[in-house]
Amino acid sequence: MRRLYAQILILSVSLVVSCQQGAKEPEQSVVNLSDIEVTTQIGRRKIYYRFPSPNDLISYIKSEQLVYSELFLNPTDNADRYLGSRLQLFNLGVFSADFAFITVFKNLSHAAKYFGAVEKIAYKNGLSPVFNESLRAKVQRNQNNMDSLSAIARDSYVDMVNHLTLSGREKQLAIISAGGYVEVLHLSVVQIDNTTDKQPILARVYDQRLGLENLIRFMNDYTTDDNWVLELQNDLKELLAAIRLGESEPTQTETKEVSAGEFTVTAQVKPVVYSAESYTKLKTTILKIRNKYTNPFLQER
Amino acid sequence: MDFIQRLVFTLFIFGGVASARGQSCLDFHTRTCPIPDFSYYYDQQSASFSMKVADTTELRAIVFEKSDYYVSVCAHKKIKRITLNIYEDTPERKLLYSNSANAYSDSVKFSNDLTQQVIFEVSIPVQGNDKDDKRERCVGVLIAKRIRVEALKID
Repeated sequence: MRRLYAQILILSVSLVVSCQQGAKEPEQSVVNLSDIEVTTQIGRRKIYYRFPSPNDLISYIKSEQLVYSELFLNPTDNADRYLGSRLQLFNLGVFSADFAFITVFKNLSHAAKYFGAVEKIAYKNGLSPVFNESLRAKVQRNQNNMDSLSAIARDSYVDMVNHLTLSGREKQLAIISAGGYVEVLHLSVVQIDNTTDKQPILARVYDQRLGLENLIRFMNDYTTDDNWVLELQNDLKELLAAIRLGESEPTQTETKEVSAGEFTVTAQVKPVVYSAESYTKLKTTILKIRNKYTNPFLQER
Repeated sequence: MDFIQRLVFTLFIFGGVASARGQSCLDFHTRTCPIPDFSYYYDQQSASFSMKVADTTELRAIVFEKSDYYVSVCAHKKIKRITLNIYEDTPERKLLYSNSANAYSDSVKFSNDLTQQVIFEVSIPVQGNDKDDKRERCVGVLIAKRIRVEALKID
């Protein structure tokens, strides 16, 4: 028995060592279909996809044309109604975007309520180390200080991302991020009635295709064994196709070195044009997908 | 029973060590990379990863128009030289910056006028590093940004 134990011990040590060393022989040429890792003759090449947070997206879209109404937000009563952790996580992203929207518009009366919704879903999904008593106390202390609340919204989202990454829960991060993207797009198009109305916001909606593309690629790692995530990714692809209906000429950039370690990228940004038909398609697609995940209890699925 | 317990314990310990070693790089950039002045704020697109000499990692991210960015790289002290190239994430892969032209500086600032996908390509070149070092080391990319006032006046 001792000999068997020793053999298994040696086997486990060698397994651990081989895992640490990974691609020990860089001469080997491997191309992974997911485009995540490519090993070449000179060493390994890995690709990581990143995308902005809901706070960054809201700050980017925010302009004098964008207005605030609580009617645009997902009602906080829904926070108790989502069954299943994936749906809850998606709506954690939705409520995080709503909270960011509220803080950007400095609406103190709704901030605590929406922070409560974020906290409730986060707690149910093992994120209590981030949304803890100390953070709640901080929100209470600053409930009349919108700048502080805005910083809390940004910092808590970053802490949540770090916590999920450090605990190896990037699939959950992908679902939360998807909720954030869908809600930010909803908050934008819900107040645009036609293509001549609020052109600057529409141009910024069009720009969201870039982050969405990275998010869709980021999700590739989590779709093979999870049909729910695969369906969500397909919905995001449909959303991306609708955003791409907008037309814009390619923009040429010019790079100039200002000093050592400092440069500028300048560009003449071209306008984005959506035909009436393509904008209708964009708006209905966003509303359909947002409704599918935020109001699943109203649908037959 | 004693055997099973010892086996489970051993696998648990080695599994834990392996997992901890793999995960330990994840927040390396927040602990190690140079930080900008307080006018910038942390961008969640920052990341850390484990790399060996001769490896290359691409961090594909989004930069917003009318924003200023500060990007820094950092690595385990055994890594003496890190290459940072910044490209437009387009089929042409236009090079925007390379720190090889700037004494392999660990940070760069840029002012950006176009919302676009960019690639922060980090390499650990054989030249300038110990080519016999085969160990995985932590490498981080810290991204910080600030929105220019004009960005809020798009109408």
